[in-house]
Amino acid sequence: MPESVALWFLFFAYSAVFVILFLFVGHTHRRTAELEEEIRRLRDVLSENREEKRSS
Amino acid sequence: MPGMAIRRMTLRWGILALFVLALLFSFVLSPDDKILGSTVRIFYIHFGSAIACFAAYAISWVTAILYLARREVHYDRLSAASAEVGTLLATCVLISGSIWARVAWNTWWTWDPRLITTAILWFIYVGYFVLRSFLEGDRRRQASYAAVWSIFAFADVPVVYFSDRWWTSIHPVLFTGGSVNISSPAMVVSMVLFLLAMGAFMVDLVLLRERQHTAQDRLNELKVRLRADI
Repeated sequence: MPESVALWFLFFAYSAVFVILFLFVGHTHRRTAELEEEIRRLRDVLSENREEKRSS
Repeated sequence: MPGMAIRRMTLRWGILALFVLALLFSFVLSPDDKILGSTVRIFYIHFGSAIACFAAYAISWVTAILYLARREVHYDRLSAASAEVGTLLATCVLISGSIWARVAWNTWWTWDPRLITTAILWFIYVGYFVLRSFLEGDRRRQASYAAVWSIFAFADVPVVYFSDRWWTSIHPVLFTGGSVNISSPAMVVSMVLFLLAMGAFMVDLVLLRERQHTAQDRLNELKVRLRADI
């Protein structure tokens, strides 16, 4: 492979690796947000349960 | 917390900008090396990943010691998150090193002390995750055993660093006698830019993974409490 072509190949490989790393960060961020949302919902359910118990 | 979210997004855009800058600098402005030729560009990401990997493992080591000393679970989460990111970066080091070896040494792999110790490091930390997954049900035991494993695992990091000085190695030595074996200042800038980009990426991902581990732990606690309530 000529060196100039190999350099372009390397440039795009680098770019692809960075895109993959950032996609992974994005995925982790979304998953964390989902978990935190689930925690909020469970806390609401828990406090509703306790209020129901207290009132009954 | 919107302020926190904005700060995180700013940091992430900053890291992306650093990566783009590092790419442009190394491919457009930086010349070929006298000895390594254009393959020096593989070395930039290799070096940046290696230093960020060592830093991540160092964080894992320090937080493992702190966990054993104080028994506070957030240290364990930070230790696990750092080990994960360190292993991701170690994978980048092994892959980029292997590609460079194919060009420079005409082989993907050779039994060189630097390569062997790095591969051992990678396997030791894979063992760390296997241990954690085995002890998933018992959070305290998982944290204690993993902390001990992490402390011993880190012992391989200085061995990796000094391997090409202690034993006969064909791996290039970058720092000798306080100087950097690189022929032009533009190349040093490229190297530093990649180092900063990989370092910032490592910190961001460690904090993000730690947040995810915290959320997962809280969720598990809430589920237990909810089951007890029902």
